[in-house]
Amino acid sequence: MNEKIISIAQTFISKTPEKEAYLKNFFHLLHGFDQDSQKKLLLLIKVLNVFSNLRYFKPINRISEIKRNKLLHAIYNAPISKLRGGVNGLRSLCLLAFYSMDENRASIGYKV
Amino acid sequence: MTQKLEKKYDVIIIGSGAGGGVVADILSQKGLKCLILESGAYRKAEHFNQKEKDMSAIYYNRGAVFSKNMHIALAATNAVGGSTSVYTGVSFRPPKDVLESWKTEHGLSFLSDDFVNDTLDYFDKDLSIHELPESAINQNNTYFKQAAEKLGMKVKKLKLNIDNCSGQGFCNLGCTINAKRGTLVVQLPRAIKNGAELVHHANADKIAENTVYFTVRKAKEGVFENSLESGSYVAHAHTIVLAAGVLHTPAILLRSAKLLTLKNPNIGRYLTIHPAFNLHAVNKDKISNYKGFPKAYYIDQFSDKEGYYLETSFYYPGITAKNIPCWGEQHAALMAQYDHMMSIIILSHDKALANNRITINKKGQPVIEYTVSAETKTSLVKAIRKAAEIFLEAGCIAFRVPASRQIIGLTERDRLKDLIHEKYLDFAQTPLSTAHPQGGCRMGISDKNSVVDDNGKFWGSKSIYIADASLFPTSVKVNPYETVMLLATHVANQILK
Repeated sequence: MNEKIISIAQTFISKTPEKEAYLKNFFHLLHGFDQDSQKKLLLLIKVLNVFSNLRYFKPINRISEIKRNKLLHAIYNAPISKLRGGVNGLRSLCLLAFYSMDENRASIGYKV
Repeated sequence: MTQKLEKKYDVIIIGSGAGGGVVADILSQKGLKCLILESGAYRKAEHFNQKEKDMSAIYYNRGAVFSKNMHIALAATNAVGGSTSVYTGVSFRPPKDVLESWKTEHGLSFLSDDFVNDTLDYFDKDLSIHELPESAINQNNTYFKQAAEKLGMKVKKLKLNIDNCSGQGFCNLGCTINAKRGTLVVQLPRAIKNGAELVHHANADKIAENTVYFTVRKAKEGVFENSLESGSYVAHAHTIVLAAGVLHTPAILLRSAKLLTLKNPNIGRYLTIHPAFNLHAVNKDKISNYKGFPKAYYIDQFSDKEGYYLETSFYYPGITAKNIPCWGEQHAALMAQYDHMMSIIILSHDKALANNRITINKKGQPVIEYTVSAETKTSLVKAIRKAAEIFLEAGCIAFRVPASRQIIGLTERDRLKDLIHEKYLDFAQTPLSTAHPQGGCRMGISDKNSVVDDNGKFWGSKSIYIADASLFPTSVKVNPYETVMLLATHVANQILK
């Protein structure tokens, strides 16, 4: 699961986060959500992986950046509203987890 | 096992925000024995560390309680002080036309000019409500004002309830120096001094006449001292005041339907959310919007005809990143220029419709059922276009906003109508934000179309009152805390009678 999260996050943020620290922050934020939201987000990652396997015969963390981006955009524009909303929710969490880390917010000129 | 609190209270108040805090303050000043139950933690100035990853815990679900259709992300506070611990302090009196319609269409005749003005004048003093001095206005606000005025718009100064603000800019993550005057800083300490008891981490499970069943969760040791151990409790009082906010007040009533043996079909209904988008744009100049006070100006000239307000705003990196509706290289390029970013929040007035409501799921947790009307959608798109005009006039060179499919820059100035369009607005992809939910337990003079009477008393009940934004019959159209305090004052006065 961790590899999948990192690969998806990488596509959203267009940067390679420091794996261990990023995952720590990702799960710290995720565990602040209610049980239902947590389950849905983790389920969505599994669903995305299934789509990746069906489309590219490889798990989502082993396809190229270009393919992963294409896949995420396809789901983000899917006719099922909840899938579109789910991708946006995952996008939001991945971005929040990245930009709320001290070193990343400092890198964009945010000074406390 | 449920433990019974032996102590008898005059009043149990569920919630400690703008409504509950005011009721506790007024009643305890008159010598009534009050117990305040708050589901969140008692965070004081020293607990706020200005970090998003930690401070998002002040909110339910990290600040995003999604509606069932995932079109709305509600930021609802879970802390002592409620929304007043995280608001920016923007202070609006309820608009006259709103009060007039509440009086004439909903029978709230107590809202006389004398009562309204006397009460709000009191809050002006008590909460230090005033306009910011010019010296405290930061670049984002200055650019917003200059650009909007060049475009012929009328810019007004916001009133704020701050004292000795040092311009840290982190209002929505809690104030580290208690500069914000809300119930956390003003009314609750006074109520406690007057004998009110506060239990935090306390979830009200159900209520019955004169009775509250609640659960106290374990608080982090060494950080939050609590007056009750974790466990299940039942407490009794002459009066119960529900002030748990728009999300939880209707949910508590719905969970308690059997105990109360009351059936009011209006509970949870007529929810309005003051739907909003936070917009960000990269300016050619470096902008330290993260320093100074985030909100100084607003524009209300489009309120009557087009149904929206524009206000200046500021958000920290994580929330800003989430608000920019794209990802990948495009997103990273915009975020890389965070220190050049201007921000505007657009707020639309939504109508109170019966089908928009708070209901509960099988576990008894609140569920938001809300469909954005076509009228609101049109209003939002017009507001985004207007904000885009301001951005471009202010010298912004690139932005990505909801209802558009591309980065917009100076060369697109004449094409805003085509590039920002309703056909591109998908609330699943770009959910609306709301921090101003209202309604759900509307006040009125008939149980046919309201949940409480014009004293704030739950129809058919002897002991249960409501005192929060869920009372609003319709949207108040502006940041609501002053109106909540106004109605809470009235409810407290009725309890004293």
